[in-house]
Amino acid sequence: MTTPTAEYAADLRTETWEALGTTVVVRLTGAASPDAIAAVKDELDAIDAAASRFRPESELSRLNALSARGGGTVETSPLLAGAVRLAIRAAEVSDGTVDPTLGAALISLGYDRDFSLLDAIAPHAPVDADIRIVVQQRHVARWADVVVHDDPPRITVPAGVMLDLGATAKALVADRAARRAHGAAGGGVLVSVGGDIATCGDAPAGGWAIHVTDDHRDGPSAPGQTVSISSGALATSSIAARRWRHDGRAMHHILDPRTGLPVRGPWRTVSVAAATCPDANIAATAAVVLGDHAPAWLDEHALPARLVALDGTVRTLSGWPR
Amino acid sequence: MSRSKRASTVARRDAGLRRLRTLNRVLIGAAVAGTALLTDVAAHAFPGHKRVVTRTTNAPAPATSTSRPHASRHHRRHHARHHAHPALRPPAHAPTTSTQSAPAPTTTQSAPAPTTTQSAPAPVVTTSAPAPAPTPAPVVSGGS
Repeated sequence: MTTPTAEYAADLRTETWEALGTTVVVRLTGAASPDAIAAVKDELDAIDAAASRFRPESELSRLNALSARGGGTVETSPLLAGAVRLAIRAAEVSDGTVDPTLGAALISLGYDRDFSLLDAIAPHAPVDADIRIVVQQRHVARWADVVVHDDPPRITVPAGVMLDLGATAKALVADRAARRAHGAAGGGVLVSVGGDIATCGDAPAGGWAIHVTDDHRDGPSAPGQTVSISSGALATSSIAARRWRHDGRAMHHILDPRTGLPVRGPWRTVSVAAATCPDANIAATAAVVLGDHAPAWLDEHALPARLVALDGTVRTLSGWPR
Repeated sequence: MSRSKRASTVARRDAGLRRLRTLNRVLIGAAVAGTALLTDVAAHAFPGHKRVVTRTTNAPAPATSTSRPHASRHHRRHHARHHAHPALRPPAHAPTTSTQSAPAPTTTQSAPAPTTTQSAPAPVVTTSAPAPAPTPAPVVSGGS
C-alpha cells in the first residue's frame, strides 16, 4: 500500500493510494476524517488477507489448496464466506457468465502471479483478432458445486476447482468500505477501488462526478464521458485494461466461461450504474461476456449502462445520459 | 435315419438356434449401449448452438444460453432452492450528465476589498479572502 496523496477542493476531501494492485480513491463531503480513511484501509487489508489469489497465506489460497488435494470443507472468516457467496450469486444471476471458478483458466493463460509481475502490454494495443491458444484443460463451470455454510461460516469446495474472486471482491470491498467510512465520517462518502465505485450518505451538490473511460488509470482527461450519480454505485469492465502477453499473444482478464479464453465480443468497455457496487460490477462484466445479447439483458434488468464497441461506437441504455 | 439319430440332429439344431438368439440379444444390447455412449460423447464434445431465450419476468438469466459453460440445470435448481439470489438492483436514479469534465486549474484570485460608508479613513486591507477551492477532478471509473 503506497502513501496516500490528499486533495482538498470545493468542500470535498480526496485521498488516493495504491492497494490490491490497483488505485483506491476516497472522497468525503465532510471534514477530513482520519477515522474514515483508516476504516477503508482496514477493509482493504481484510479482503486482501481473505481473498487474494496471489498471497499463499490468504484464506482463498488455502481453500484452493484444499481443492487441489481433493476438496473438502473448511471453516473460514465471515468475510471470505461473504465474498464466495457473492461470487456464487454473481454466477447465479448472470447464468454463469461471471464465473468464479475460472482460476485455473487464468493460470493456464499466464495470469499466475500478481499482475505487476506479468509482461503487461499497453491498454490500447490492438486486441488479437484470433486468440488460438492451447489451454491445458477445457474449462468446466463448477461454481454450483461450491457451497457456503453458516454458523460457523464454512465453505465446501469440490476437487479441482480454483476460485478467483477478482471480479467481485473489489466491488464488495468498495461497498463495505463506503459504509464504514460513512459511519466514521458521517458525511457523504465515495470509495473507488480500481474504478468500482460505491457511495454512501448524501452526495455533494450536483452529485458525485464520475468520468467513465477504458482504463481507470488513464485519468479524467481520457476519452469517455463524465456523468453524475447521487447515490448507489457505478462500475466499469473493459478488455482494454489489465492486459498481458502470453506465448506472444495479447491476453486480457475477462474470460468467456464457454471457452475459458479471453472474451472476443463486440464490446470494449461497459459501464453500469446499480444500487450496489457488486451489482454494477456483475452486470458490467456479464455484459462484456454476453456480447450481442448484452443490451437486451441489461435492459431487462433496467440497469443504466454505457457500452463502447471495439470501434469506439457508444450505445447507452436504460436512462444513461447520451 | 434312425429315430435316435433324427432326435440328435433336432437337438443340435435347437441348441444352435438358442446360441443364435443369445448372440442376437448381446449384439442388440451392445448396439444400444454403444449408441448411447457415442451420443453422450458427442453431446459433451461440441459446445452446441446459441439460442435466444425470451424472458418476461425479472428473473436473472441472460438472453444467451449454451450447453457447456454454465452449471447444470439440476445444480441451478438446487442453488435456487437453497439460496435466495435477488436479482440485480438498478439505482434509485440513473446517472445524469455532469458539467464537470476535467480538473479545473487552481485559482488564486482574491476577493475585492470591502467598501465602507464611514467617514473615517478606510482601513487598509492587508489580507485577502480565502480563494474558492478548485473543483476537484471527477473520479475515474474504467477497467482495472
